[in-house]
Amino acid sequence: MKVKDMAVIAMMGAILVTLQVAFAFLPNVELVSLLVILSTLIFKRKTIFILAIFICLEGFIYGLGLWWINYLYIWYILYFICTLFKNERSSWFWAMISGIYGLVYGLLCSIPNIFIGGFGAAFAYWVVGIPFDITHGIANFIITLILFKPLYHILNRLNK
Amino acid sequence: MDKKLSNKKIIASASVLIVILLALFFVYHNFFPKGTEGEKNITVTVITPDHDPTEIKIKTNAEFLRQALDEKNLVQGTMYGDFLMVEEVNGIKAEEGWWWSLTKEGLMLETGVDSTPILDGDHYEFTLTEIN
Repeated sequence: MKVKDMAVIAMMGAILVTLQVAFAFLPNVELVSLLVILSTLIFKRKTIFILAIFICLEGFIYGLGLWWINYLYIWYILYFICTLFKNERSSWFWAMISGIYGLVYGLLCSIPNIFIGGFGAAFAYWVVGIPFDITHGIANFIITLILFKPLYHILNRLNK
Repeated sequence: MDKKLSNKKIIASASVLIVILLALFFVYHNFFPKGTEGEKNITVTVITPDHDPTEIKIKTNAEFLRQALDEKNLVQGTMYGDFLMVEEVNGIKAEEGWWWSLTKEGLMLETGVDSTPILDGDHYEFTLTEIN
C-alpha cells in the first residue's frame, strides 16, 4: 500500500467520523451512507479500511454498546451493495439505493436482538423504529440526490 | 444502450423503494402495539442502588405508559422523533455511565415508554443500572 493510499484512507475515515458527529443532533439524517457509496465507487477496496477506521473511532467516541455490533456489519453491507453496481454513476440510482438502505436500516440493526431476546424482541425493536427508518430513507434519498454529483467530483480529484 | 440499462436500473430500484416503503407502512399499522381504553391502576417501582425502592401507584385512563407517567410527572428525558429516551425518573437523573432500565414484573420490555400499552394491574420497574 502506497503512502498516498494510507493518507486517503486516514482522511476519509476522519471525514466520515466528523460528518457523523456533526449531524448527530439530527436523528436519522446523516451523510455517512452517501460517503460510503462515493468511497466505494471512487476508492474501491480502500473503503474496507476506511470503514474499519470509522467504526473504531465511533467506538472510542461513543463507547462500545449494542449499536457498535451493528456498525461492525451494517456499513459493510452497504459497501457490498455498492460494489455490485460499481459502474453506475446516476445520482437518481444512488439516491434510490441510499433511500432503500435507510428504510431497511432498522431491520438490519435488529439482527443482534434475535440472539439476545429472540425473534419477538427483534421484531418489536424493528416495528417501533419504523418511523425513524422512514425518516432515514427519505433523508438519505434527498441528500444523495442533491450531493452525489458535487461530492463525487471533489472526491474523485483526490484519487487522481 | 448504457443509458437504457441505467434507466432500467433506476426504475427497478424505484420500484423496490416503493414496495419497501409500503411494506413498512403495512407492518407499522398492523403490528405497532395498541393501547386499550378505560381506567387502569398500575404500579411503578423506582429502584436505585443507594435508596430503598419507591413504589408509586397511578390511577389513569392512559393507553400507553408514557401518558400515565406524565400524569405524575415521573419521567424526563430527550425526545428522539416521537420517542422519549428516559434520563430522569422521579427526580433522579441517570448520570454518565448509568441508564434507566424499564422492566415489567422483572422482565425486560421490548418497547420504550411511548410504545408500551398498559393494562389494569400492570407493575413496572425503573431500575438505575450501570452501563457495563
